[in-house]
Amino acid sequence: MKALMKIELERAFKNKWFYISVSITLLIVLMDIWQNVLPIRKNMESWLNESAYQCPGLYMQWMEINLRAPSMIYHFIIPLLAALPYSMSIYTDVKNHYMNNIVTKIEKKKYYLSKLITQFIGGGCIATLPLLCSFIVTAMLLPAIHPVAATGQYPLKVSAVFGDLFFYNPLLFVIVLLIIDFIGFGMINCIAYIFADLLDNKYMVALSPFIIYFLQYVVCSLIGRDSIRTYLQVVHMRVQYLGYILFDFTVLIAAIVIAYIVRCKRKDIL
Amino acid sequence: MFKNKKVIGVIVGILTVAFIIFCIVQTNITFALEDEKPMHIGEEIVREKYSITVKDYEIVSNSDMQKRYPASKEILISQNKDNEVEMGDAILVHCVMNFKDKSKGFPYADFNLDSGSFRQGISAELFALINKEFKFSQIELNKDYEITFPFEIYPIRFRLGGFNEIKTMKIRLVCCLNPLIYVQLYKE
Repeated sequence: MKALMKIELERAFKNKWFYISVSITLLIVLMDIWQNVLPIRKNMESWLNESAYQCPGLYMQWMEINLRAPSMIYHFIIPLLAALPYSMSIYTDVKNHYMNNIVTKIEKKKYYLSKLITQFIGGGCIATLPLLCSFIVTAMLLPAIHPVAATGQYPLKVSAVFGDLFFYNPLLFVIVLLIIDFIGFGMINCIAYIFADLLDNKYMVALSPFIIYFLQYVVCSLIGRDSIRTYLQVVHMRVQYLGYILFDFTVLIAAIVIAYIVRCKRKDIL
Repeated sequence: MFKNKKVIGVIVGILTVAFIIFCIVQTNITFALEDEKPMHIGEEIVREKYSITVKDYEIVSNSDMQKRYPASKEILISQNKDNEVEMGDAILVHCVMNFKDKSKGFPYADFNLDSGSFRQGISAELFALINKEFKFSQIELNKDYEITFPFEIYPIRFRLGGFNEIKTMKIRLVCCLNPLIYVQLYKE
């Protein structure tokens, strides 16, 4: 299993689509740094002399807190970018009979489990790597000023799940945010694992996480509740929607587990 | 050759991390702010245009506010996005202020309550209702005035949605953002 995991992780991370996806996300990060962070750095002296406002520092201007246009673009397309490197491989492995070779050497369920885990890790990594890079670069340019709620300059309100954590320990908040985004986008990426069985086109399999993600956003907007897209912007994760968050991810986990069990029990490979 | 590549990779990695740490430390040293100044009830805060000493504070329920100030019934009421009516409570901060300069008007915006992610500014309507005797345009400079800062609180907006949550919060009155000067209203 370890050897198989190593092979699958190499397939996920050492392919041109991974580099393309990471490059696009890093481009979005650069766009945010160029448009929003650098101008503040240039005018920092004038902010230091201002007593009516808090100096805009790392925890105010980081793209995941400030949620400007680059962050919106990032949250919109990340399920697509996360799915590109590896999602097609489950579909193509069956179509090209590559799987037949593998299951002669290892149990079918271990193979499918390694595919699922790799899908999860790959999606999580592509989603969080640009956020981490953005945080580090912003930290190099702006001071880490402890946020103060009294300023009114931060988007976290008293109804935010991690509102108090942000204002008491902002670095821990950042770590929690990265973990939540890793898990959240990793699980969304596993939607491709479900649809690899249901669809007959590898590109549609790769698109499926993005389609479901966007569809859920549209439906939730129509019925007036927060969607996965909203609460994976962790600053907008509100206490009154915790029930919906748990429901959404329970449904997703259940679908993934069912897809895994169905695959394992199916007698499709002799 | 592979070992050389690995060694070079490690060296480049260490140099990158060192550079990042250097930049972060340098930025925080270059743009260091003054230390924050926590004050307590009874301590005087001296600013450029005024000084303020917080004497006491109290959390007053909606019903008690209506008994003390009947007109507050019209003020301590809000409608949320579901068109439900929310009755508000109030936090009253009693203080003494002394003005050296009144050219920029009363500094309402300077004073905010906060506690974690909770934040509230002075209610101008309640301020006018409670401090009827205090007319800023007619005050004398360098004279002490007793003033009450009122803050509207809507418990339903809090996580646990209850009045009791406010009583357990470590609330502070922030008087200046840079440098950060605040009065701890809670007892440690």
